[in-house]
Amino acid sequence: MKYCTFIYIFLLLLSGTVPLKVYAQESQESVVVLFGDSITHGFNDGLPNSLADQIGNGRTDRGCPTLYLANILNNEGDREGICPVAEGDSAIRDANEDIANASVQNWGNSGSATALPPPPLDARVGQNGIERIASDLQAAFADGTDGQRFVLILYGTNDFSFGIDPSDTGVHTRIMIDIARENGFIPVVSPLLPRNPATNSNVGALQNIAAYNSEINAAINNRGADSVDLHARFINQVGGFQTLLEDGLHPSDEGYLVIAETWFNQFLQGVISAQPEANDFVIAPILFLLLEEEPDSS
Amino acid sequence: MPTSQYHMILNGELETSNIGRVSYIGVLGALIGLVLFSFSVFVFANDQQEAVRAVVIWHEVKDQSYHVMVSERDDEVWLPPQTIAQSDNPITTPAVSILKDETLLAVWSQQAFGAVRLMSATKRKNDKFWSAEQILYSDGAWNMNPSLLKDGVGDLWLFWSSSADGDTDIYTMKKSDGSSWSSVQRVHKNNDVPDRKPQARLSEAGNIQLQWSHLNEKARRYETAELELAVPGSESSILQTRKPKDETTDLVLPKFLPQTTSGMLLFKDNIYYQSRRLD
Repeated sequence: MKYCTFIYIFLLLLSGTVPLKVYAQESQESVVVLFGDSITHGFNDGLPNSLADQIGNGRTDRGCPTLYLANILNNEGDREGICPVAEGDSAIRDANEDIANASVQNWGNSGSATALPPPPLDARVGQNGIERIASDLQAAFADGTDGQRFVLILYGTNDFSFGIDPSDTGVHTRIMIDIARENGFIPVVSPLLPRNPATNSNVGALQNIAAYNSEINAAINNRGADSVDLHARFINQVGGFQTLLEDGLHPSDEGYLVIAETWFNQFLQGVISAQPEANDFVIAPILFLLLEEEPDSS
Repeated sequence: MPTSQYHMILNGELETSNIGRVSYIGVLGALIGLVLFSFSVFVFANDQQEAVRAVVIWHEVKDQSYHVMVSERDDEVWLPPQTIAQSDNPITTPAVSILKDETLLAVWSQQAFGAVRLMSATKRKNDKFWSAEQILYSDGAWNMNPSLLKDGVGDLWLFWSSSADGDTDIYTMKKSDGSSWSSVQRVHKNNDVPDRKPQARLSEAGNIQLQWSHLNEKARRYETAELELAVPGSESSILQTRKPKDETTDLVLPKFLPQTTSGMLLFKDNIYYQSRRLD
């Protein structure tokens, strides 16, 4: 009895003075899917532009939005040259103390729309939003781990070019939200970025985007989905949103960094699981359970 | 006694003729040349018969504004593209047709004051330039995806999608030579799902076969919907002796077309498959 008591006291003193490092099990990998068109893919004049190059296909090593967001979530430190021009320095990343274990995947298809009709009316079936979201999400989570799953949807920029009415874009957005949930993903949707093909203020282009965003926001509310407002973030940019656009439509590298930061600080930061730090101390209470009380020998 | 030259070729033997020794290879070469010449004449003649006159229309953003572009094809060559309309406001889904007197009619969708109008322009047969654009249809809604078709009695039909009723439906109006456009009608029953991208052609009987994209809400995918519109008097007016031929997929498009755009390809002389969408 006295011997066991001595052991207890010794261990208590030990826990207070000498840290016992017991590594908790690593958190399951989170999957973050970026789903959309060329703006999601990270269209940039500095990248190859063949058709195959413009399809994200779940790559984790391509496209500034993908690389910047992965850098922020996983806090990988300064990485020079991760995109053609910028170094990816981010104050938001630097301020992030919670390191995630996230796989950020590029499922952006340049030149695609939220939906297009089947042949014979269109030959590119399968490359657009509602046609491919189920298969893309299933491929993104093919390893079947139990981590969190998010799909960040920014889709519809090309819809007008293909004669898709804003009301139809709204219908397609509702469908994508539904399919995402059915596949175990949390959908997070953003309205479209502002655009400006002219150097002066282009009211028509802004009105055009406003009509699509009205329907996208209505779809978000109708389905009770989470949202991030990239459009507002761009509009509120000091100096004007044009400074974040490369060609009046696609973001510059700085614009892509703003997109990644906004996905993070408007939504992901509050919900994505953080990795436990390696020097966390865990004094396993089971130690006391292992010590049996010995019968008093006296 | 020397055999005929024909026998010389068949037997492959070098024999002596009345005009002297003749090279076996030379005669064989002459025959091959004759065959090739005949073949090339045959192919050339057929090419002349099969030469396709076409027009392609599309939209693109350049010089910081929106453009409607057209290129015509004659003698198997696409002519340099020309801008037929330009705007600071977004433009999309242009279409083109050819009228009786070979005037070209272009129709496209253009944003204005928060809505989308159908605009038009024309080019007469021997003119170099297109007319100024004018408003073809505007009702305050979004009107897109125009598609034009000339029927067997010479009327011109316009099909397009509009969100006038909240969701997009397919509408139509038609025009005879010298008259104004008819009233607008929806072609299908009212529903609550998107109906878009109409595309029309003529059947052998002269009826209008209309297809469009219809959302199957339960399956959550688009399907092709079809409708046949009878055109009285049209069946006897289909004058073409050739069978309907879908040559729309065979033509090589010009390399200056943008990779992603919407537009239409018109076949000037194909009375059945008059046009097909690029997108």
